[in-house]
Amino acid sequence: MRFLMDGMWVYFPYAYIYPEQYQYMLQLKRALDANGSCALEMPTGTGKTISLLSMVLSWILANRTPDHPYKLIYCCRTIGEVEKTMEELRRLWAHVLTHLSTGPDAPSFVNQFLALALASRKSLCVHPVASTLGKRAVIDAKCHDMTAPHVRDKFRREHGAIIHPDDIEDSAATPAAADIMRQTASHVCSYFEGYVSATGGDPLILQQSAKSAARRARSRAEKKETDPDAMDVDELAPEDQPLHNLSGIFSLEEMKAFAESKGICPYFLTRYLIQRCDVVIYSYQYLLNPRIHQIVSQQLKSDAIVVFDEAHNMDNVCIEALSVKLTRTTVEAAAKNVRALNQQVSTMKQKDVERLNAEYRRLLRGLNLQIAGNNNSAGGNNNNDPAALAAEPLRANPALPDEVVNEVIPESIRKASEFLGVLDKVIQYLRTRIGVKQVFQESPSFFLKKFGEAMGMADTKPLRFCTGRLNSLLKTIEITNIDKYQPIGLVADFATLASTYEKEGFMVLMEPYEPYEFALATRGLGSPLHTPQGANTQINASELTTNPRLELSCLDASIAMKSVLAKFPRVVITSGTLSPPGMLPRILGMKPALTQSLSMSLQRTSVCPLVVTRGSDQTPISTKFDMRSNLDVARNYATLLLEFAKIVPDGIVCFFPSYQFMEMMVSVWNEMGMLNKLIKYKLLFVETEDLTETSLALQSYKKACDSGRGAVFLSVARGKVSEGIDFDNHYGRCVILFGIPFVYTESRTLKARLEFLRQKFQIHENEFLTFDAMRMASQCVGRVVRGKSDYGIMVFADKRYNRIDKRSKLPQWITQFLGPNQLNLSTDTATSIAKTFLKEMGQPIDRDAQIGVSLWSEVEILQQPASRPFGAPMPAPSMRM
Amino acid sequence: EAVAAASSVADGATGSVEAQRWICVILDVSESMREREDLQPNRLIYCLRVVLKFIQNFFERHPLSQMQLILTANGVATNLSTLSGSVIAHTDALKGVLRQSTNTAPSQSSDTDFSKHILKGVVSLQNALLLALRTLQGGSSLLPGAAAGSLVAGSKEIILIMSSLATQDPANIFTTIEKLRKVSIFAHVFHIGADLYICRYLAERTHGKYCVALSGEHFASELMKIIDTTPVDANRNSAALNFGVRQLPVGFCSPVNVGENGEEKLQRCPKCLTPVEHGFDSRNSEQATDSASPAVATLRVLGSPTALPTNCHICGLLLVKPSHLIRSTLNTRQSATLIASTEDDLDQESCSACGMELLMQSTSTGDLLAPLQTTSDKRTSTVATEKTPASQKCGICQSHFCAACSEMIATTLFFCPCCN
Repeated sequence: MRFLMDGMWVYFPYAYIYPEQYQYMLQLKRALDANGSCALEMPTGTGKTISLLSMVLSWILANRTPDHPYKLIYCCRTIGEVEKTMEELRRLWAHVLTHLSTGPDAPSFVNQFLALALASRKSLCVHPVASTLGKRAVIDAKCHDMTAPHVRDKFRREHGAIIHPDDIEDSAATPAAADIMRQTASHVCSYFEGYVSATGGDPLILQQSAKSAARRARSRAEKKETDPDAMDVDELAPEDQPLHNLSGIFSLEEMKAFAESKGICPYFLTRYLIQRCDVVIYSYQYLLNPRIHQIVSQQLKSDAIVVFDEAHNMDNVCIEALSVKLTRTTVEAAAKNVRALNQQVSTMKQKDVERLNAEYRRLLRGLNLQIAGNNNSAGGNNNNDPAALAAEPLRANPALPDEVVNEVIPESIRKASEFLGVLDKVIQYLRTRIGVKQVFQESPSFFLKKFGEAMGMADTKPLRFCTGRLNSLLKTIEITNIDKYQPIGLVADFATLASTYEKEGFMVLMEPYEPYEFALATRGLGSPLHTPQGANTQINASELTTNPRLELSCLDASIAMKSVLAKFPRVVITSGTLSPPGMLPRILGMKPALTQSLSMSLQRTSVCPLVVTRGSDQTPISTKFDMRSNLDVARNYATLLLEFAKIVPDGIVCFFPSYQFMEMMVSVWNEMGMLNKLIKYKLLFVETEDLTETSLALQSYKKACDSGRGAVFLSVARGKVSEGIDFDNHYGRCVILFGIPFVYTESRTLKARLEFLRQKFQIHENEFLTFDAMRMASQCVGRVVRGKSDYGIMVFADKRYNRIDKRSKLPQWITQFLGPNQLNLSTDTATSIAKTFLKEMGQPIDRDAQIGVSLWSEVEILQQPASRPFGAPMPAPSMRM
Repeated sequence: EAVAAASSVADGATGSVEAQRWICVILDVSESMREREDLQPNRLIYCLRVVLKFIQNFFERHPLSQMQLILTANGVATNLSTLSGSVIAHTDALKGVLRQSTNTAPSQSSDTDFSKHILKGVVSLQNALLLALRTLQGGSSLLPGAAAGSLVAGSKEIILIMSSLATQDPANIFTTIEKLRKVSIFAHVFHIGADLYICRYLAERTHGKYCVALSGEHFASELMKIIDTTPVDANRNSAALNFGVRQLPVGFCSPVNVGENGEEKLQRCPKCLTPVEHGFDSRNSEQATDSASPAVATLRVLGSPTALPTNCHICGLLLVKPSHLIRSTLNTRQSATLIASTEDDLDQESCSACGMELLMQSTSTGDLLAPLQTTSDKRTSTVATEKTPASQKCGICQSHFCAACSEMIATTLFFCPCCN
């Protein structure tokens, strides 16, 4: 389907469109036209992704100029979402092609359209050894060991020079060459060399298949030397330049298959192509985490349109990206790292002083200037050295680029040994602080001041360069196995961040105990009904298993967002739950041009929210702290679940505010004999903190739902199940929220953050907590309604949901179905409403009745003011009937 | 000349009814049937009543068909009645369940083991389906009342009336559903309560009807719709479907007088001339419907002590009465649509069926029925004041019928004698 919207052609791959999709596109278009960012809320299962892709792509097609080849950057949360989005895009593009001419005279954009997905090496690596290593850090380290410039240089030194493509046929026959080929397999990555040669670099070895490509690449490189600006993709025949003319839509697997067949590394190829591709789909981290952002996304142009899908938790992602957590083991390992480095430096001093001196001179010129220069040469100059991608900083600066001071590294840490001394001091100080079994909370500046006093460092400014300096050092002494040096990297990050953001937005926190255990010991939070009397009254603090954590916690989500917002004017954040509008953009420091919450148009009422405030015995139910250990509440919750298990077909999903509360409830129910009663109607599955256990439970749960046995899944509102797993159709006919999923409020990190929010954004802590709890609640209930033909009951079982301040924070697509007769219910009234609802929902859906109401064809679209054909008269209201 | 072929037109577009249907009714009698809120007095009693009515109506329309009742509860399933075409056998069995369910105290003298399961536990869908499968899979030659040598004739169906929201199955139910599909059994599912996935899957997979009851009336009316339509599986009996017609050989008995004075009358199979002694079903559905149809009554007067339909016990030919065929194949034929004659049809003077002069009827509504009755009783020509035709004409061939004949066509004959 293709239709006009404000005079612009919009391509949509389906014959019918939901009214809310149309509205969504319209709002999105206005925001894009205004060069502004926007926050859009639309219920799940209404085709958010496709409307978004469809609008942005249509907009790019309409507004594209050679100067502004707009690009779409689509950020997802998980690999699964990346793949799903890719499939939608593929369908959309196939549809677009039916409307556009694709012949040789077609616009180059059409022929060269390229969409890529990027993920870590773990998902993209094809190296026979590295890809089997499993852990992400290990794979990265192995890759580094095979592709780092010094490794390749060493290889070059030891095995003669590059094997030229012209020589390879002769040399392949000789045993020496065969030996070299064998060596390469273990020392350097042939796929990376394939990548280097394919992108015009200087390869070490060549594969037979990549031979001709490399020869061409070499000739191109020569040509470029004579005239760097003569690089023109079009003047070369397509088969000569497979990578530059590469077009199509590549999911992760397809890219792997494609690149492997060509003998090229998919990971580096994707990163290389990101600059010229039209759509890139990747994880939040590539944009929000400054460490990764610098490596991957630095060179993206600012005319790109950035989309954050499922953005409801973005503030937490931003905060985590900038926070550093240190445990005692990390600090000890870091100390070991420093010792190892010291040793290496001293051996190098004896052997190869020149290299250290060279580093010193380089640092004198300025570390950051050098990095910036590297980036410029890589990005601006059309990649004259593609291998530079592998020479990326081992650990990029954790602070944001615009915060990094662009100056020469201070004298005090310029020498390798001196720098290691400083690091040693930092570690010693951290060790003393982390050994104390005492909670403290300090601002970074205070922390640094105390550090200075304790360690005799008057000026703590050099700490700001820790990461960069460490990076340079690791490169100079040509370290392998970089994954072993992660602890020292963390410490360096800690120091860098603490001294960069001295002023505000960060907090140094010390938690001597695991937060749950701590709470358990001090307040008797854990199952008070079961512990023998007096057992929980006094627990000696020393008996607790201490796992002290020193955390440099980022409090301000807008810090990570700032660079994104500054660079890209068009940022779209979208999710099923952004209510109340304005809250999230405010926390993120966004000033959206447009904020809109779209409701769901339905031909039938397929969402049935029920606020249950009283049990069957009319006692109020709640998980409030003073009520949660009450036996009445436990019994009423059990009855509620039992009653719903009797009337709801197939699957029921329950969410508890925390693991502890769930465990407590389950054990109390067991004693009451409620579980035995429940098992007559439905099988029972429980989420645990163990991921494999949970996924096994989920599998069995789905099987029980399929075969008609019926099942109940008990899970936790902030667990894995509540975010990533869909309970569509019969897998979730009903969701019960036991209590309001407030975040664990005793956490010091949260308290510090609340304090910060109050000071900086004037957001009252209760307001934020409610906002956070309600977005979690709506995420949980949103798990069960995943489409228009889907339906589900949503039971909010807590008397506090009845309050207007909680209710009003639910997204509009839930509140629009929350009538006054569904509030303040007791268990039995709720079940009788649910019974009627379930019967109505069992009736077949009349598809024809939807058309015009919740499905629009082109006829209805043409009646919309924004899509009326040009010059057509405004239809009179009577005519529209 | 007595051997005819009843054709059951398998026309996917119109969803016709087979002349013969084999139906297993699976009734849920589990604990959830105790529910009193939606169906009064409770779900079980309501359902039993609806099923009783269904059996009556079903055999009225499908005298050649067979039915079996299966109960399931508490994880087990049992046959309540054997496969037969007897209304009485089924109704009696159901009434037995009704008695048991209303007895609050469990009766010690209950004859079946199953009574202790009634209104307990949850159903066992798989067990029930397997029971039904065993009955229906027997091959139509083994089924009582099946037409000899015609394996393709008739549709096999399961009607599942379920209220439980869970099922206890001994093994994987999906393999059972696949088996049903393979032998092309349709499973219609009526769920009282909610939309259960496995039920929907079962119905959709076997091309049956699926219904979630909104209310008692809704349930009853949806169940009755089963009587008039059979879903047609596209891939089923494709060879027979290519001809468009499936043949069901039947025989009409000819009464033969035996004995000296001819006082003893015997019916013989028209094919092998064997005297028909006992029907497979002595308590046939006849008495329920016969008195209503004068045509059948006439046949009975001719003297037929044997209940029909039955199989000839020698050659296996299905022996039926003409009215059976008519009733069975209502939907497969173009059923007569009679429309009221207009003034333009005044030139037609005599009834196409009985040859009597057509009468004119007064349009005044008050005595609309009066002339009708007089005509049917006496067939004398009374002069009506206003000349509007009291007759009706066939919508297809435009033949005119007098009021008495059109009534007979509408209630008994079901087809136009002129064009069909």
